[in-house]
Amino acid sequence: MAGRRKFIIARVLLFIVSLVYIIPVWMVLINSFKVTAEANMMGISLPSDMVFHFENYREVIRTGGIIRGFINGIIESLLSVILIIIAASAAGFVIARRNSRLSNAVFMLFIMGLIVPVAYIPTYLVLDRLHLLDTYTGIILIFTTYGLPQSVFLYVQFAKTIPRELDEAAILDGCSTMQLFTRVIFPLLRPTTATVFVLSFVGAWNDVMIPMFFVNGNKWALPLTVYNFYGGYMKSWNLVFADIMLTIAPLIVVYLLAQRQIVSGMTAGAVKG
Amino acid sequence: MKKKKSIYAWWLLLPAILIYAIFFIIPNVAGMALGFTDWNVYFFDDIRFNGLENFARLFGEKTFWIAVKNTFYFAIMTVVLKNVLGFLLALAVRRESRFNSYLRTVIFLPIMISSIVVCIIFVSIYNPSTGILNQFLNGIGLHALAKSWLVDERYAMNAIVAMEVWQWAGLNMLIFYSGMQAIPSEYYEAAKIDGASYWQEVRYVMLPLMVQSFTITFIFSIISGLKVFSQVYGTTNGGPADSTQVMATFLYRSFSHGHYGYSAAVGFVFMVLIMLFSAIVFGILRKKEVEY
Repeated sequence: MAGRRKFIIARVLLFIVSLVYIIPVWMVLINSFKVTAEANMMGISLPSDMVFHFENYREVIRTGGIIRGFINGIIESLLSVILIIIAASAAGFVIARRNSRLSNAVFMLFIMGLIVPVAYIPTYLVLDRLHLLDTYTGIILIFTTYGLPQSVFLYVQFAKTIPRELDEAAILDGCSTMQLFTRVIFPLLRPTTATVFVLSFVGAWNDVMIPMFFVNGNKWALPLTVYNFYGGYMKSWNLVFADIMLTIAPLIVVYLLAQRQIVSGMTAGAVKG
Repeated sequence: MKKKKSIYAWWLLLPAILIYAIFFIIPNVAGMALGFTDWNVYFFDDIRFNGLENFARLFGEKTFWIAVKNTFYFAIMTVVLKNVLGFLLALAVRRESRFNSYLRTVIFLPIMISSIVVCIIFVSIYNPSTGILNQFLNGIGLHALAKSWLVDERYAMNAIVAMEVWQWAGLNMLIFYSGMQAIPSEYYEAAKIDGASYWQEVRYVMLPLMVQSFTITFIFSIISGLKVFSQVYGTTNGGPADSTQVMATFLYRSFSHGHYGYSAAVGFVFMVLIMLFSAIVFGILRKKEVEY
């Protein structure tokens, strides 16, 4: 009897915890459909006149630079993710296989990148000297650089679980090193590639400081565009909330579809396998 | 003896090393030098060494020390709260059920949202008159608890801490959750046979075997705590009266004023502090890990 009561209390408490997570998102969603005056009250009830103002979304798409931000985000995140996957999978494979002092040192250098904060000012100088300040190429290379440590780490971990006998068999069958990697190993690394893809994409898409330092507003991805929009429309929360919904909806959909990959990627290496 | 040529050609490392060297290693090495120069936006191409001037000015600036203090306060508070809450939540959602899988999904969700967007949402939640937090507190009669969260020096920092914990506790929850799954069930059974209570089981069976998970979550949360930027920039931008000024916002401010040499010095000190602090924590936790 006492056990049952405890169980019910725990359930109720946890349900309240989940509300703490759901209500903010609900508040954004429901207010994005209201007229300005009512949205500014920030209530969580349905619109008082029961009319859903979808035109808020049309307005935001027209004035908020949503399309631009979306395309910027796709270009920058996608291209840096492709570079990350190519560079990190190859490096991770070699580091996992060679056990020399040099490869261990290289691995340590990448691990350092997980801890050391971005050296913004010197990076700014390097980009300036390479004429890459305020260019797509520049920001893509910086996203690539800061996506590498985590991705190399994940690839090394996973490549170690692929049996070496496979390499030897492939070489005996006449594969070159390049073929061994591209035809045999890379396809086997696919689960890690999926994880790296999602993590690096979300990381670049959501980053705040790198775009602020190295490119102008016309090359920002959606989240920063929203912040800019908010700066100009502080008095129209319905539009700000609609803008937020448009920004977070794609990621929430991706999350619900690829939850397993995202979660396993983010917790990888934290658990003894 | 002739050395056998490895089938794992080193040149496969090249793309990664090249990008990393140019945009990570060179800037970090250059950062040490740039901190000793007067580089600025007005004499952009004329960089001169000015010795220890930047560091002397930095250590003499009151705001810098406030920023250091606030950064450590933020880091320590978020580390403790994210880990305690993350662990308790992991305990709660550990068993497989539909309700628990719903909880895991929902609590992890905010991690997908850019922190700068979370800031805007919380600016609205924390709004003193119309925000849902104060509406709720007033609604249940706790008028005394309804504060001007982000506007009042006394509460602004803790309000930002709460926002950060809301967003990221779910990550620690899932790291602990998978750590718990990895503990062989015989250990619990043995404890049960010995007559251990639930909390004894948690304390003497689970915790010691999960030090590795804690090492990871501690290191992650400390590093992200010390690097905190957007959470502050997007809500208070260091105010009111520097009460939420942190190292990264301080760095960004001097950068946007065009004092690049000075900012590089700030960045360098910032890096040294982060490295030192993580090394200490890592050293302490490493000693406590158990093999099983």
